Amino acid sequence: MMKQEEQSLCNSMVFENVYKTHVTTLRNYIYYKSGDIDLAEDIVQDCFIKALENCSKIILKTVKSYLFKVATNTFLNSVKHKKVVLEHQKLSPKVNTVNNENPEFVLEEKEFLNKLQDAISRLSEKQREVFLLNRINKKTFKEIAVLLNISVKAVEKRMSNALRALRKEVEGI
Amino acid sequence: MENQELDTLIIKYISGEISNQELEQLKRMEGFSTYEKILKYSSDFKAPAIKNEVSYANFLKKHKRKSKPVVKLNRSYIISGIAATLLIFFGIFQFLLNTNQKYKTNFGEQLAVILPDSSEVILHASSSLNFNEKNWKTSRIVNLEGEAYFKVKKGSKFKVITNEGKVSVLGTQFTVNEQEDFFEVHCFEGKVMVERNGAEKIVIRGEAIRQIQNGVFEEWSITITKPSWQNFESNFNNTPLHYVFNNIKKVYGVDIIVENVNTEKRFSGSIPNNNLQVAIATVAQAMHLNYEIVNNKKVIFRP
Repeated sequence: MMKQEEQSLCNSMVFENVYKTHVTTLRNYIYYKSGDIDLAEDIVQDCFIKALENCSKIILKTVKSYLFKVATNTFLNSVKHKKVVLEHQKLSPKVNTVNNENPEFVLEEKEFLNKLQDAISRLSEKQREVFLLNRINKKTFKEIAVLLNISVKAVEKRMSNALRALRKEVEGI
Repeated sequence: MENQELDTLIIKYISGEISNQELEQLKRMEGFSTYEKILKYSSDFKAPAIKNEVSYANFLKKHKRKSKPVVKLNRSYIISGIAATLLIFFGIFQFLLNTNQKYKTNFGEQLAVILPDSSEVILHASSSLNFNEKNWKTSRIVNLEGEAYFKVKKGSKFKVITNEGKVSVLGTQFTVNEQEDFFEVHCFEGKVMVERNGAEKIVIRGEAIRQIQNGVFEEWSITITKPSWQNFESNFNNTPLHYVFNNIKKVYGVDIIVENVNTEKRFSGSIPNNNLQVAIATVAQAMHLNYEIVNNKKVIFRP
């Protein structure tokens, strides 16, 4: 009895835990799609509100896919798209002062990062979300496949398409 | 061909499923260096971050804001729902209580009652009348105990139901007087139908009818146009004495004790309803009886 109660999403402790576990990935996912961090946060919070309202109906094990599904649907309803702007550690001036590299290399690196950043923002939504979930959120292809409710093969396909597009952009071909 | 191989190997490389041999092969491929650079640098990118704690706090605020009004509304709906239900029940209760109108007179009283269709009823002493106001439009039915005068407006069938019999009319003036085993109807205008013990009789204007116990209907004609008791007089036409005494009891609220008098003898005449002395004297003289009035409370008749 106690165990069951503990595992219910309606329990505020459990819910808080679930929230903190999934909020970043979920927000990033929507951000990768929309490029609007405020929108992403909004959608994610709405999605958790929905989850809380239906907490008795959601099985804790499947809460993640539930959240992703609701987030995707909510996102599709809001058609605001913005350019995806990512921050890079190397682009912040602090890191540069620590790394004592030769100025030419630093400049080249900066240029490459800007190009990469641009290229990522020009990826299709589907390619970008897979690429960034893998690179930034360190999700395996299998995990992404579960989150997006597609096959691993499809994830791999999107990933290689993304890589090809990026290579094309950065090499300037 | 090579592109496809590159794709497969790079995917294996990313997911860490690549063998050493394949890795060597991949490293020699054209474009790998770019891919490696892309992968390396892209994993250092960051999406704009929001701290979990901040995000959760904001979420709670938002949830409260969103859910609170809903809860409030629900509550007020429930409360107003309960209130409305109570009101309706209360209303129905009141309505049911109120629709059954009841009027009653005591000894020597008369009471004029206007019915919902503005028909008039005048209740004689010691009588009661009740009717259902709610159903009045569809059925004009009054229940009567005692004696009353009716002036009925034209309309649907008007029924007077008593323990002794029924009178139904369409619109006339008449009186109904019922006592135990006694039923008398005077018709002043129009036509009324009297029903008693399964027998029916139509009484027309200027006629009166009476049935005592299960005897025959006694009919006679009347000349008055208003019940006599409205003018503080009681008119009797060939009426058994005990009904006359009953009437006196009703009007004056006195006890009547009869010693060795045949009360089946019939009396005709008028007695006043506002002077006990005269009333008793009139009856006694006509019937050749002696009487005694004790404290205006008790009347003793002797032969």
